[in-house]
Amino acid sequence: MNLPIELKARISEHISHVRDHLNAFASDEQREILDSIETHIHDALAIRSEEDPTREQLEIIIAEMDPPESYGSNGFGPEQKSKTIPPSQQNESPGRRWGKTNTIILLAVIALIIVAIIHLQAESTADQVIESDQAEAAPYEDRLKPATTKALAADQSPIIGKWTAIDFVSSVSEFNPTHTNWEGELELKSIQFFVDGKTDKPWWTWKDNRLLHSVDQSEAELLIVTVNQSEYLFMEWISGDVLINKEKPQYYVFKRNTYKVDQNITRKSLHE
Amino acid sequence: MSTWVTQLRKGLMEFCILNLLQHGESYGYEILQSLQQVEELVVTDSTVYPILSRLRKDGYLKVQVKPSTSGPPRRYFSLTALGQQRVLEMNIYWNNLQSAIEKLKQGKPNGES
Repeated sequence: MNLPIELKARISEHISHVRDHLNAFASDEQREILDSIETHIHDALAIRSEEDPTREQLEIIIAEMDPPESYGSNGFGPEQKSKTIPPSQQNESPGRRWGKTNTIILLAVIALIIVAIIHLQAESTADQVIESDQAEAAPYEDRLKPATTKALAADQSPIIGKWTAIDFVSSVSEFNPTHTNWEGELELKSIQFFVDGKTDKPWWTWKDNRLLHSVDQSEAELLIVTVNQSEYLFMEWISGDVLINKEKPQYYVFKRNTYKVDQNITRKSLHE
Repeated sequence: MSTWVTQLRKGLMEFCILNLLQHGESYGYEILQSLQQVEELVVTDSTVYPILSRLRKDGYLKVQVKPSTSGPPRRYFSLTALGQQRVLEMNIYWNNLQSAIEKLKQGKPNGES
């Protein structure tokens, strides 16, 4: 079932709201729960809609599901447990508690520094200099906000520009900006979208939110989502499995390049 | 009364899921729908999906991802050997408990027949 981008965006929005209430779960559990919710919605849509699903059907399904806050307050998950103060801490002196608080803050700062270092190392491999984003140090407090990628004049489209591939995922909700899913080398390193509908790859052109392949005539969906104020581009990967075996496409994830003038490179180029 | 019922339902959820999966693998939405057939359990998505994830993490369930025609790949849950052992033990305990409670209700706590 191929959903219109509007419905996909609404599903992503709901999933991001649920994600806000999963902080007490481990990252793998969060991912599993979110995957279950996403497939739940698709399965329910498939059962209810003989033809193309409508926005109204989707809203009914979401309304029938538990509200996002239920995932943190149903008494089954660890979130409620973590709110309980263990008896051993209830009688602690203020000084001891202050000492523990300081230790926790110190560990949190160290963790943030480590995440920032890993992030900077990954960024340095890109062929353009990308601005680091401090906001990405906060996992699972992110917000997935689908952005509009069509109904805009071509020169206003948010797709225009150069994007660097950072991950490959089976669904949008699987993406976590602080932990890449794909462990190997990504086949596609980057892609650049020009105003005239061309890309830096001669076989691909783009229009609205679609990427068109001139050889196999396939169309891939392009979806921009905002995660904690950083834009990510999700591009359906139309492989042979998709075209021949009719499997569901997976997604390349790109991060927008923000250009900085690298003085060393510029000088070197001038002298060559 | 309502608090007691709520607590009892919570305690039974894991037991019900493991028993359901004794009959073969199933995916989240299907498991939810099957459990919702038992009205007394009052099962919703926010109770079932976290438990499925925890049971998988605890080693009682394993997951196989399979393509779905309706959307993203589905995660099919099935019992591991540990899960089969767990549900076996739970069922033995449940039967013993049920039997003991029946005797209590009849005023025969020592098993007099």
